[in-house]
Amino acid sequence: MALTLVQNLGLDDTATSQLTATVCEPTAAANDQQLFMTGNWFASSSVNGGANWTFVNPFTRFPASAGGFCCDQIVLYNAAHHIWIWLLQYVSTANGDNIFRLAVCRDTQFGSWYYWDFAPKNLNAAWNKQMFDYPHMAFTDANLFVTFNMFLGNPWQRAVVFRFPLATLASGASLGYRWWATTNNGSIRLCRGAGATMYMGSHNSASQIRVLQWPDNSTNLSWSDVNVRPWSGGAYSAPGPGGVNWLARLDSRITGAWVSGGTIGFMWSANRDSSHPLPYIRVARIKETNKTLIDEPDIWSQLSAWAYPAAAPNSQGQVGISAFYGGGTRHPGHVVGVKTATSWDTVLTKTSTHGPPDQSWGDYLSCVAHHSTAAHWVASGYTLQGGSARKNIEPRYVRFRS
Amino acid sequence: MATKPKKTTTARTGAKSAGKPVTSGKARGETAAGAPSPEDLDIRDRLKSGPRRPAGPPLVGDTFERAAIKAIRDEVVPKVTDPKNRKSRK
Repeated sequence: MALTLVQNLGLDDTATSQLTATVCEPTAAANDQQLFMTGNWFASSSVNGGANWTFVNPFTRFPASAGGFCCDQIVLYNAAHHIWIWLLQYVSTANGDNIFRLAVCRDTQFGSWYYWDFAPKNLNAAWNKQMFDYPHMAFTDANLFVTFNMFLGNPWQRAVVFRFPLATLASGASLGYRWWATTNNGSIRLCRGAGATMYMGSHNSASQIRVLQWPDNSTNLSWSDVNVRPWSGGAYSAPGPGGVNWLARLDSRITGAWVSGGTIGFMWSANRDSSHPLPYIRVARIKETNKTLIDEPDIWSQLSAWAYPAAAPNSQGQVGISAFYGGGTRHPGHVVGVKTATSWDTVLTKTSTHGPPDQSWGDYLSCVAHHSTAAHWVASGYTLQGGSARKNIEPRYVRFRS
Repeated sequence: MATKPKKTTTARTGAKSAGKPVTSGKARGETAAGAPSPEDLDIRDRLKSGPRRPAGPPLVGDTFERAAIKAIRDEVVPKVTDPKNRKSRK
């Protein structure tokens, strides 16, 4: 069945108060008529399925903490516990440390948030000058998982994985949680669609992925290393009209991850090579039971580059994606797609009218199953419309199905 | 494709408590943070340009040429996946 865009909405200035950035990093989620969308540096909610949006200011919505609200945000809706979860990253203090804020509200009290703050020094007193950056968030049946990188100034220090009980997040009781850190892998990506075990991925090398797994019923996590076909990284380039390279910020970290029907999938942006004239999306599908590689159905083009994939399964186990496509004769465009038996069915939701003059774009998108029509997906995206200034960024809320 | 089960390594995790949540009303309290000016945001936007800082240990083999050479030797390239232009319902 062909992919259908059920909703394809651009958020206007009323919805974002023009608090938009060319590195927009949008995320979106849905609970029937309740929608919530975040991005740099806005949040916006709807209670009528996207007909109207209300701007929510992440700078002022909560009390001041650390150096103030910074940038990265993620929103998710958990249907099993009827809660919205909103993660916000804060600016470092003069000491160099920051916090992330984990805000929760019940769907019956949409917008009435309560929250917990987390600083690196909460995990280890010696990390009192370090900061969290680049969050990801996904859940299993019983837990919410959050990953971050940690930096001391600019140098990367480690990656951290948090596990929070969803029942406690929903009840608002005292929150006990578990955590784990590693200096061997960065930018750990969590799988969407997890059941009783969370799977995560990170590159070991340009030809091997570490697949981590943390069962809900265990205080231990474990990992296996899976060889994949070698790929290229380095400095990415895909000049569009006017020679604007919208991929100057791109790197190879895994940005899309899912588990569904016994298959774990990871997606990342790879650089051009002898077989691909432009950057493209590498895909590795791995058998859940024994962590062997199934196949590598990459997404690529002779005409334009593909980058920044996000992925999620729907309730039927089909895999949906949100990504960007641009370069050559095209400014960056936002695309959603679904995995078919033999390839990918992909559709442009909107193409930019301009390229980013500072060559900055990214750094992530989101794709989640819709609630309550779980056969549908909700994707976030963005384009530049009518100019190249940051205020010309138009975030997109897209609902699609196959 | 390989079918041999992969070797698994296990690690222990730690436990912590974050206590009870802070309840935040809808109205802006006295401790509410201020928002930066549009000019400040313009500066923040420009600071995002350029390559990202490394976010993990260096990846072995993450160089343009080596991987490219190996790719052409090994790869069976799937068909291209250009997106379609398709109209939405609304």
